[in-house]
Amino acid sequence: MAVDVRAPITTDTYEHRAETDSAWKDTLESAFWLSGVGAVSLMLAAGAPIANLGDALTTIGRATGIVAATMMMVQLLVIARVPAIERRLGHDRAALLHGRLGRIGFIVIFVHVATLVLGYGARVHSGWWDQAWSFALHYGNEMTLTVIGFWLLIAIVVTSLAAVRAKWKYEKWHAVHMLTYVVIGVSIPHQFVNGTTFSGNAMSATDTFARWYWAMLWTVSVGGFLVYRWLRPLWHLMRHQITVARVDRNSDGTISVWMTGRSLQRLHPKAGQFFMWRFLAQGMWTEAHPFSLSRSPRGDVMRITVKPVGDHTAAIADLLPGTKVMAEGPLGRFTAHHRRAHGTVLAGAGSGVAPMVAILEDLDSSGPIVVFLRARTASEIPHLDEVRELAHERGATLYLLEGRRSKGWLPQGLSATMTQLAPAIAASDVYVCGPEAWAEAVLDEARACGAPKEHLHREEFAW
Amino acid sequence: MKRNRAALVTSVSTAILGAGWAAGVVGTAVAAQDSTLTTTVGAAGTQSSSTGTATGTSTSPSASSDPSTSASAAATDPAAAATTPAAPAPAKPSGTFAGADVRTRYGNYQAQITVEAGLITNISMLQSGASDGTSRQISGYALPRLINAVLQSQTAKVAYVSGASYTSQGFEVSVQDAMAQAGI
Repeated sequence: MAVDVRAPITTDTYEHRAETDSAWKDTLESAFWLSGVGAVSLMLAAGAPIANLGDALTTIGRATGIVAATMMMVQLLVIARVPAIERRLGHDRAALLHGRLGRIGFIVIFVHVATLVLGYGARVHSGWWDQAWSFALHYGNEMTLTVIGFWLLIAIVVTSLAAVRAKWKYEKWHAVHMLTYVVIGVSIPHQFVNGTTFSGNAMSATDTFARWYWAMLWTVSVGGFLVYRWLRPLWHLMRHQITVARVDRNSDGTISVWMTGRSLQRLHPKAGQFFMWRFLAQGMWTEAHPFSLSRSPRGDVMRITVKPVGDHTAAIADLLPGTKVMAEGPLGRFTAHHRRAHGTVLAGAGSGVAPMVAILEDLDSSGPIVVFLRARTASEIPHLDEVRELAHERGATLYLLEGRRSKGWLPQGLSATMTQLAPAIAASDVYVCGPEAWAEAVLDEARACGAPKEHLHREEFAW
Repeated sequence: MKRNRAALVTSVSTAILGAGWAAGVVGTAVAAQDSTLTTTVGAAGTQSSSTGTATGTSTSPSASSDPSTSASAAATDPAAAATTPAAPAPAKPSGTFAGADVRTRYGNYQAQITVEAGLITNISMLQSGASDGTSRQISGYALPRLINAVLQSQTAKVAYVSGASYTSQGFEVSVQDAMAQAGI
C-alpha cells in the first residue's frame, strides 16, 4: 500500500485513543475485580476456620455470599448507563457482562445458600430442613426478608427460562426482570446484620473498616444506578424539554421523528450514538426503546428514524407533536471517535441505515469512504436522498446492495469480495449496523479481506 | 486485558488476599492471647478482695509478673468478686463465683458457677455471646453441651464443640477463671 503522507499524524491520534480506551477499560475491569478481592480478603481477616466440615462449609458460604454481592454491584454499575462506562466498555458489551454476571451470580447465590444451610446444620447438628426454617424464622427480620428474596429470585429465574422458551415479548420479560431489584434491595440488610465480616460484632479496627468498605461499595453501585438511570433522565427532561415536533411517514416505510428542545447540543451526542427514548404519551411512557440518531442535533432539532416492527414502534407513527420525551444517553461507542484507521467503510441495512446517515455526516473527506446500503429494493432504504447527497459531498463511494437475501454479505446473484468494492478495506474502520446474520456476514468478509479486529465496529441492541 | 496488566492485577489480588489471610491468622492468635490475659486479670482481681490469695497466685503466675494489668483489672472488674463469700476452710469451698468476662469475635462470654462443698453444681451464663441470629444459634447449641460436660467432668478443660470454637473458647476461659476463684 502506498504511504500516505497525512497518515502518521492521524494514525498516532487513533492509536493514542485506542491506547487510552483500552487502559480505561482495563482499569474499570480491574476495579470491579479488586473490590471483590478486597471484600474476600476482609472476610479472611475476620477469621475463616476450616477445621471441620461445618466450619469449612460456612467459610465457603460466607465467601460465595461476598462474591455474589460484588457481582450484583458490578451488574448495577454496568447497566446504570454511566457515561464513562458506556464510552469505554460499550453499551452492548456492558449489557452482555450484565447478563453473564447474572447467570453466574445466580449459581453463586445458590451455593451461598446451600453451603450455609448445610454448614450451620453440621455445626449445630440440626438437619438441613430445620436449619433452612431456622434461617427463615429465627434469624431476625433482615434474614427473613432475604429468604423471601431468595425464593423470589428463584421464581424470577424460572419465569425467565419459561419466557425464553415461550418467546415472550421483551417488555413482558423485562417487567419480571425488574423484580430482581427488589431481590437486591432486600438482600442488602442481612449482609450488614448477619454477615460475619460486615456485622461489626467484634468491634475491632478491621471490622469497622470492613463495614465502611462494604457500605461504600453499595453506596457507589446503588447510588450510581439511581443517579444515572433515574435522576439524570429526569434532569434531561427538565433541562432540555425534548418535545416531538413532527412525525414523518417516509416512502420506504420507516418513520422519522423530529424532536426539538433547549440546548440539545449540550447533550453531547456523537454521530452514531443512540438514546433510550421514553415517549410520555398514554400507553407508551412505561417503555424505553433504543434508537440511533439519524441526524445529530443542529439548531436544537434532532431526528430518529424508526422501522415499525412491533406494537411500540408502530405506535410511534401516531405520536402527536408536543409529546414530551425522556432520553437516556447518549449511549454506545459506535462513533467516528472510535476510529482506528485512515479509511472508513459504513454498512447498514434496515433501521441500521439511520446511524450511518449520522456517521457519514460526521466524517471528513480525509480518508477514503465506502458506503454499503443493503435492502430488497432501493425504495426501502430510508433517507436515501440524504445519503446520496452526503456521499457526494464527502467524496464517498456508495453501493446499493439490492436483491434477495443470501447467506453472504451480498444479495443473491451478486459476487464480489469486499477488497474489490472497497480497496482500502485493510486500512479502514468498518461500521456495521443491521440484522444480526447479515452484520456477521459483513464482518466475516471484512476480516477475510484483511481488516484487523480492532477496526471492526458493530452496534447491536442486544437485549 | 494486556498481559502485563493482567499480571499486575493478579499479583495485587494475591497480595490483598494474603494480607487478609495473615490478618485472620494473627487476629485469631491475638484473640486467644487476649482471653488468656482476661482470665489472669479476673483471677488477680479476686486477690484484692477475697481470702483465697494463695490459690489465686499459684494458678496464675503471669498475674504477679504483670502488676499493672492486675491493678487496672481490680478497678474495672469488681463484679468478679462481689458475690464471693469468704472460703475459710482449707478445702471444700462453697458459693457462687462469676468468671471473667471473656471477649471473643462473636461476643462476650461470662460464666457463673455454683460450688457446693468443692463440687460445681450449677453453671449459669451471665453473658452468652453476641445477639445476632448466627451467634445465638451456635451458642444455643454449644453452651448446654459445654455446661453438661463441665458438670460431669468437674474440669474446665472439656472438648471443644466443633463448629463453635469461639463459644467453646470463651466459655472455657471464663469457667476456668471462676474455678480459680473458688479455689477448686
